[in-house]
Amino acid sequence: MLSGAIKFNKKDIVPSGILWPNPHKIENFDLTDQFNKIVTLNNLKGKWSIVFFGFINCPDICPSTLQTMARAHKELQKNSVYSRLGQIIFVSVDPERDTPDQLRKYASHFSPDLIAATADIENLKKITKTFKSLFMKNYDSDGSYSVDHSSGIFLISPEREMLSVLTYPHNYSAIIERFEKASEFYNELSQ
Amino acid sequence: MTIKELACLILVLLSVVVKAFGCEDLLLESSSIVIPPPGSQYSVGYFNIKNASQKEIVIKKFSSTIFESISIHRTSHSSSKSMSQMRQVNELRIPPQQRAIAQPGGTHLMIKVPSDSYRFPEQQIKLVVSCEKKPSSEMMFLVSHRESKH
Repeated sequence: MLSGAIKFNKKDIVPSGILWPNPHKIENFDLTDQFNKIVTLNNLKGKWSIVFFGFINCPDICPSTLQTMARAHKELQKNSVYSRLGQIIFVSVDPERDTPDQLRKYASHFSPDLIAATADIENLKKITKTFKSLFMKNYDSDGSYSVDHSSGIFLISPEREMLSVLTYPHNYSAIIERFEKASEFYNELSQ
Repeated sequence: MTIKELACLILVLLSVVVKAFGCEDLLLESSSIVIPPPGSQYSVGYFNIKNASQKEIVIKKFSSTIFESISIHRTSHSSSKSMSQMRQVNELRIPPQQRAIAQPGGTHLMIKVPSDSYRFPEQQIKLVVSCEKKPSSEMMFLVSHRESKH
């Protein structure tokens, strides 16, 4: 496990859970957020980002995960690094139904800080690919559909490195702990 | 045919006849219908239902006069790919004296509300539970709020 008392070298670190010592860098993408603003890789640079993929009509794990993320985001305001550089992002993989207007109503329920964004299918494929994730539409017998998607919460460093994925079920304290370990690790490497 | 064989045959026939009973022996031990976030057309229902009988009971569907549709779904998670899949379930089989538990991240009711601005009743909503064999039963589900944490 990582600890603030130990000096780390990337080569000496082995994965603990899903906290990667040699993370890949997120590549560029184009999304539109709930205020019709463009969200790209530039929005990740210099920030700590907590990212989740889902869709508004997902009744079960999406609202509970976003609630958990929002709580972690709120608690992490006590952390001097996160309070300056932290952000939470929800990427909808259902652009057909999740318009910016719907995203605005939905996101405000969880946190005024939540960035909720989506894109056309091609751009969603691009962003899910760089997050090493997938999404797939699935039809029920009545013609309605849901979207299979990643249930992980992704932690992205200010240098747009995917440092960690938290797996379901989620709890806010695990997000906080993972951020604290990852940011300690990141600081050690920067010194 | 010996008496023993005859008894066995009668038992087998009886087990076929009473394999599935109606809903009257289902006990709703806990329940909730969670008000969806604004913008969402789907609410979620959770429950803990005990089969108090000595026979298997098969729940075929839940229905309500106020919702557009209610279907039973199950969420599964692939840990290797960290993927979540939600699939419709056609029935819930509850063995004698056992429980069917619908909870976050697993089996749940996917409830389509009339509109994304639908106003839920304050406390309870009646759902009708239909089983493989009639009669159906009514169950009162508690309405709950998913707390906003900001």
